[in-house]
Amino acid sequence: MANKKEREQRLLEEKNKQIASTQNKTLKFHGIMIALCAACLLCFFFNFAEVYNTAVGTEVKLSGWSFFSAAISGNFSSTGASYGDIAVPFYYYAKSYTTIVGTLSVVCVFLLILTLLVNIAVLATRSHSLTFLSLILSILSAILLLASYIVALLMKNAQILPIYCSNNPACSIRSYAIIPCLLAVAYCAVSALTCRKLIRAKKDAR
Amino acid sequence: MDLAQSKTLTSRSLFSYFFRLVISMKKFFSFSLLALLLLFLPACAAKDLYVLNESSFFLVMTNMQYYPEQYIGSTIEYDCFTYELTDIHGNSYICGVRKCSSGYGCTCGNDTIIGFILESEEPLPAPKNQSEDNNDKTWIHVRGMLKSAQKQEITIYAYTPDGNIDYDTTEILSFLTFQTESVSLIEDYSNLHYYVTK
Repeated sequence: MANKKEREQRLLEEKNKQIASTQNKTLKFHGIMIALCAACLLCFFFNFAEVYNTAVGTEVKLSGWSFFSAAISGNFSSTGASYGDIAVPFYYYAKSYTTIVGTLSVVCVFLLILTLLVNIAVLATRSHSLTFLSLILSILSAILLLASYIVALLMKNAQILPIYCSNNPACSIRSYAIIPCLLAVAYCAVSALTCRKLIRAKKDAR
Repeated sequence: MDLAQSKTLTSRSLFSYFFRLVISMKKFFSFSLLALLLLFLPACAAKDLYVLNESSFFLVMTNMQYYPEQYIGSTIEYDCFTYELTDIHGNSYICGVRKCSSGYGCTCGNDTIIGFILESEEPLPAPKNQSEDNNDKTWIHVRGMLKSAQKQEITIYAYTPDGNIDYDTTEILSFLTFQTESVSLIEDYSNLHYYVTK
């Protein structure tokens, strides 16, 4: 009887050790997630919308941070350095598209900062339940960044191109919002993998 | 070390850990708030005087053309050359302008002029070489205000590519009117550019 209890105790300890070891192993994934999240935020320095002319290069441009700055301050028609070319031509000729991308950028930045903080909290407290929250946040970020990319490209339907391209067919609207979007997708993959490992470890322990 | 002591130590270290975490979070949030504040400070600063210089001329002047209502009531100072426009009815307007690309910043369009129709109580200096591609023009420094956000349309005869007037074609130019407070002639205009860009 005593032997059986001892064996059960040992088995339980072993399982707990296994879970702890899996959790420790997943910590490095949180490091990767933090790096991806930071890279995503850095990618906001890329042009989320630009008019590119093959003959002369980039005519006008607007970074993700410019969209963010303008949307959070509501100053779409300002000439401040942090706003880039937002007033003219983007806001003037593509008001609705610019406002949408601006709003999406603001939500995305806050989601990414929250995701970053959640990952730091996981590393600091080793509370792995937050990993699932980080997965949800990253999925939302990826969706919103994809939406930003699509809306930015849809600016071709606004009056910007006829003004800036003079009917030059080699002139187009480009967006690099796809890069942070891909990073967010990579983040989702790492996060999903971590969640899967954690779930499997708990299942195995049962 | 007994169990009670070890428990006290663990709770102490936990407390100190959380205390340090809170302090570092506080620092992080304070830093973030400061960064945000610095980012939006230029946007919040109320401007009642706009002095356009060589680096800001194109951007601010373009903004004035697109969003004139933002600048109503503000004092504006800028350097420009005088340019006389004559409409198809023979009415003349003296403008204070610079030359730029018609696409407002793009390098793919034709050239045009950017500026205002000047309204002054004193006679304005007569233009010189206004259509020539050189700096030798009548340069003035003007100070004043936009009269209204409403643009005045001036119908002119179009120019042919070789610079002659095409009396069969007209085009409409839209200009804001600038009420001058003071106008002074610029003698040394070597550091001013008749053609402006971003």
